[in-house]
Amino acid sequence: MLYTQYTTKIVALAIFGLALLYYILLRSPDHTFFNMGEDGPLFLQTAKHLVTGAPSPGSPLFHITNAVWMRMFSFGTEYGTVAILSAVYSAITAGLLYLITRNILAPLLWISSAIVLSQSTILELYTLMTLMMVLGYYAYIKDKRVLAYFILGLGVAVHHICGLGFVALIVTDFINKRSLKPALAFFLVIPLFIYIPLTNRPPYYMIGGNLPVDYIKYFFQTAAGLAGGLPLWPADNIYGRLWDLVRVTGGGLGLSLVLVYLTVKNNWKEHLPTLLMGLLPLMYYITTSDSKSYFTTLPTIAFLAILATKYDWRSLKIVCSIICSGLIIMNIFLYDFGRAIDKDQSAVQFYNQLEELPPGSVLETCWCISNSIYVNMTYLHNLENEDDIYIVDTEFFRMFGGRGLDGKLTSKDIWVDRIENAEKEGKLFRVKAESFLEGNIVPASSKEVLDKYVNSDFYKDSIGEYNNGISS
Amino acid sequence: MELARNFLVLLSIPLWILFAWLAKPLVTGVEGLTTWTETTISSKNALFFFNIIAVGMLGGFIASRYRNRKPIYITIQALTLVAVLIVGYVTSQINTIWLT
Repeated sequence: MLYTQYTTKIVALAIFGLALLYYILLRSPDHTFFNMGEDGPLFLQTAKHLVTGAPSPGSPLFHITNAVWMRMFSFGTEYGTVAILSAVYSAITAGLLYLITRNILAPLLWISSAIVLSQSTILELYTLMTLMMVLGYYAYIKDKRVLAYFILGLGVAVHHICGLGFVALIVTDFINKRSLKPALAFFLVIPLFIYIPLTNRPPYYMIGGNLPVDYIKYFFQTAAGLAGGLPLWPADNIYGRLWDLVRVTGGGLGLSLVLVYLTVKNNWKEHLPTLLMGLLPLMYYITTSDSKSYFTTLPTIAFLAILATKYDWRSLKIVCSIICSGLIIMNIFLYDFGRAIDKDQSAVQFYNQLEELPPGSVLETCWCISNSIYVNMTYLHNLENEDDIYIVDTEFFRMFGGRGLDGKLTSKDIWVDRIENAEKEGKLFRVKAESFLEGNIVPASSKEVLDKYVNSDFYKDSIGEYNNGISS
Repeated sequence: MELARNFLVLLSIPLWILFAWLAKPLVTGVEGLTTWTETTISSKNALFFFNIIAVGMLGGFIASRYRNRKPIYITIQALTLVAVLIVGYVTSQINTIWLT
């Protein structure tokens, strides 16, 4: 017995080491537009300058961890130093999956999945989010329910998707008629959110000010693309969403879905928490998020991988493990930063162009999804250089404030003046990009910028009335 | 039967590899912008929390069917569910924008 436990831990540790090596070899050394890493520059700001992050919902645990790590270690660039944590979290998850299942298939499915790899090689929070869910699940199956709920609470301090893990556990406890008191431990995390008001200070990039209404706007502000994929909205997108579903689950789990099906068919009640923790994020992705938010399905890969190991069909497990090994080799050829993708380091080039702009410039980012990467990089540049490049983007109309170092630009008229004056002084620029995987900064005219926003039908119909109310 | 099952399983191996291959544009973000001309904006947190509440309410609605005085329970649950969905819809500020 002692020998078995010892061996299991050694194997888990070996899986952790090999997975970490694999991620480190493929990781992005610096800023990147690839793999949906649009929040990377924002996370670097929070790690370095302890400012407020994105409202999902604030991610205090993630920011604090990054800040501590960054002050302790250095691996090449600042971005690379913090991004390596994604690889570490993902590798720990792989080791943990082995500890839970004692089967090599679960970690292999996790490591071979391209969507997992994509988030393990850049600066993002989704691998930590999944780790917290898997840790919470591990505590739950060890019958440490208070600890499980507490860990999931900590997970919400990384990303709100962990709240779905809370739902999964509480539904299981309710159905099994167990006490729900341990679930209160979930709420012990609330004091950690004091991080948000503590770090909310001028220039108020994320929260428009320090009033209660600003915090409400912060948590309930709108973002592009979300609900964009709702199959019924627009109705003709249902085929696109089904195609996303096939690639995420079919490409990530493939043949092992047969094992998952057989496991659930055998005894669904026994595997209910695992199933819910896997399926709820997938449902969230399909019904609420847009296709590029595929990273919300990382827990789906982890928990369905656990289920795949529970059915006793040895030969199929071996076949799946062999294919996973092949996919890992395929991933090395498809997703290696610097060789297979992002050869030109277009994001780094964009950042270098920012440094050439005159102080007080106005930069209009493209009217597009994922333009937040340009916004986040510009804010990072402002913080690093104590510069003041003003951003005009789609969020300009939704948040309409907190732009520029003074943090007082809340009126439309101030912005119109600033844009027109910038043109006269030769300080008005825009991002020229065919896709958000590139970004060239070129001079712009005030007419094209204002026509795109203030004079557009979208602004007049949807935002103008709202912002006029704010201004008055 | 078992032979047929195993045969089907073997046939699906190339499909797994194909789907993994076809996931690359989604994973790297290459297809993210190039084909979209419109998108929807909304409040992520509002949608998330109201989704959870709606799931809970749906459970309550189903549970209410197995109680005494069914019509009262079902009516209350159904009305609350409708109220939750309406409040969720309003606060999520769903709006379509065109990328020009």
